[in-house]
Amino acid sequence: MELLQYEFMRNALMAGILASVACGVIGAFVVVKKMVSVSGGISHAAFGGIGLGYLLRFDPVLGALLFTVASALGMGILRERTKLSEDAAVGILWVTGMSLGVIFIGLTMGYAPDLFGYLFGNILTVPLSDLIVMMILDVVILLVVFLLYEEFLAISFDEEFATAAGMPVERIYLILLSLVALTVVILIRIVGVVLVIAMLTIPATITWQFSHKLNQIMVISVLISAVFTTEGLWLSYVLNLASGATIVLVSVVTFVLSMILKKIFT
Amino acid sequence: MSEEVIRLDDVWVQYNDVPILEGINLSVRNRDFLGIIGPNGGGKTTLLKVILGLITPTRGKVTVLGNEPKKSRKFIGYVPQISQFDSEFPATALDVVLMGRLGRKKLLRKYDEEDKKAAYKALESVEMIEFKNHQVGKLSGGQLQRVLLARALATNPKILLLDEPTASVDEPTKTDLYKLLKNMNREITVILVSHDIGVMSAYVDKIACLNRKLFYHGSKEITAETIEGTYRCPVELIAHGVPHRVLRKHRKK
Repeated sequence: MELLQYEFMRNALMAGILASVACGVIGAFVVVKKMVSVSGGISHAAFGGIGLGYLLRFDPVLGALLFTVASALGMGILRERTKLSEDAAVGILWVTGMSLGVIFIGLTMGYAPDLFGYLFGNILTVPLSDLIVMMILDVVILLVVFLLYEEFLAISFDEEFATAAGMPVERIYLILLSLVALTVVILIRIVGVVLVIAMLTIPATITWQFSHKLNQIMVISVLISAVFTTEGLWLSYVLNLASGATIVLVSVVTFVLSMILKKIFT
Repeated sequence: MSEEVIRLDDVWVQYNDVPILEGINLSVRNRDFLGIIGPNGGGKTTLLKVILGLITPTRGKVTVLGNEPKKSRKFIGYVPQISQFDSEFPATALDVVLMGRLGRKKLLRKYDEEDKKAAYKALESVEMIEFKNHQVGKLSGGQLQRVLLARALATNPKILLLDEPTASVDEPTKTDLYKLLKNMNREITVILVSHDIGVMSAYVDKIACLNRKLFYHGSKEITAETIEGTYRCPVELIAHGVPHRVLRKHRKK
């Protein structure tokens, strides 16, 4: 408890909880609709935006937001309008984002920015302004999911039927991808570009083994994500380890335990 | 004669120069019950998707209810093959049937009483109402097939399109499904594709054979030559367990 007397600890804890809301809710769709690799592409594209932010001296978070949303929309449109396989498109997007980031940062004059933090997360340096951005993004995500829950569920289950029934499937998918992009931006602070996928997939995958209701999967994923971030944060502080990687490893260990539990009880 | 609801004129579909459908001409009239048979890979699913406007033909013209397919497809209830579904998908039977209402629901609006009533009615008509809260992945093949049929019915369709509706169900369930479809056929047009002629031939009014080209006969008397033309090899015609024999006996050589 004494940890909480430090402001950076309180901020870190708050950031973990705010990120859990987004990654639990959107992670459920990412896992159920099998969008894991697309989400990986989007999160790595963010690195290009972070680099651009450094180069042109604006907030790297804004750059990440710009690049993730643009790449989400680009991916969605490519998938619907061309014969290019999504798999290949993801690969290209992934490396383009990373390369742009590296080049932009290389071109930046002066001090070497905190690259490692953006790649692997640094929850201990979250400023209040980022907490406010995270909160706004959470509200946007929750609102859109509430409004389009039925549509998201339908395109996740059977896109072809949804199209045949007259739904604007392409538009709905683009909105869902954009929400993934917003979630990625929130998660970069916590676990970094490279480890975002962990938080989008592990909590929802654990929950899915035990629940067959999507709204239930969302709520439980939010709760266990919050436990993971808090636990990981505490462990990383006590053992002096990198916070992002510790949070991810806590999640992975829990995932393995959950698989064993599932095997024993079914 | 009742009005024409579907018309295909010289429809071709090609993927990378490989023909899937060649010069299909088809006319379906209101309240027809048409069965399309053919081997796997013969283009049956493609034909259904052309009618739904999910695939645009390379050549030829498709008219559904007097309009292009994309405009008319909201009047078509589509029942896809069940093999494509993830058995762990987190949705109940009722959730899935309600999806049939989404094309009518405006975005951002929640399901209302009318949607729920329509979904319940559809589940009742396929005798699946007691399974409404079951997870879809845990249903048997026949039960899932009925739920998908209910989802199609929830759209209030004028035409039902079914893709291999009896592929993974046992014989008694097949017969039940066909009886159900026959019943629905009193009000709506039903088209189904299958590689299994067996029970189907006792219930449909018209049969067509499809293997890239369509061999359409109108009546359901199929000759051995048509079957052989479709499958490109001699096929033993077996009519097992059907109430009345509709297939000619094989001539002794």
